[in-house]
Amino acid sequence: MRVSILFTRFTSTTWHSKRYITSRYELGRLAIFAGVTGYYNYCFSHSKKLSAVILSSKCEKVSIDIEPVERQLTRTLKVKIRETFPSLMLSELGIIMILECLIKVQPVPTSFGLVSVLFGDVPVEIVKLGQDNYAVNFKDKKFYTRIYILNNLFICITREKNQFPLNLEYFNN
Amino acid sequence: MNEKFKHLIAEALEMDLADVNEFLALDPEENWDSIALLSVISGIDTQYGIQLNGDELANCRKISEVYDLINKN
Repeated sequence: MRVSILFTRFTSTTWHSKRYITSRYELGRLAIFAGVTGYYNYCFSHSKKLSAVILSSKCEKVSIDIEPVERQLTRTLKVKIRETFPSLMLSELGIIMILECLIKVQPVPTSFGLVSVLFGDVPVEIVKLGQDNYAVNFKDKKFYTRIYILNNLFICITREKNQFPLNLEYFNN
Repeated sequence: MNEKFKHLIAEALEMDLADVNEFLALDPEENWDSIALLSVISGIDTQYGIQLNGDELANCRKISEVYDLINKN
């Protein structure tokens, strides 16, 4: 598994255009850099001017979410998260990131999946397995997640196998 | 647009209250990401007792459109 973090080269601002195009351009370059050929799965996460992409073989679903470690959540959002996951020993931001990864790897069949999960309309179970390592149960599917800290970012990765590298590789583009 | 709503938006978008006005743009690449959306949804649910549709909210591009959604509900 290789995870590459890169700084995007645009200054943003139009809806879903430059970011989308630039991301796909960078994806092609990253695939070459990672030595990936043929078909592969990929997942993007964007956080303002920073993007991350994760690549995997076509046989396995993977997803990624990134957030700055200093990202603040509102009090009402924290309360809502704790109502749904009252006993989970994980920060509210960590829970949100796991849920974001879940709906990327296994789309929730509602109009806006993250809200449905957050409000408890779609039951999801998160089980702590170890340091920064979690199992996520959704219906009859099971996924595994690990949360890393790298360059002032939380990086959440979800996959079907509970196999994660100890550290992430990265480069500046 | 009342002060309660402005406070809610300022907190959700991590910005100064003085910068919140009806013309404030919501840009998915800047200030209108999924966590901002969730923050607004949970805030409106708590303070107004209204659960907004996530898709409708995500399509808002000005803060006045969010305010209109509340009033429509």
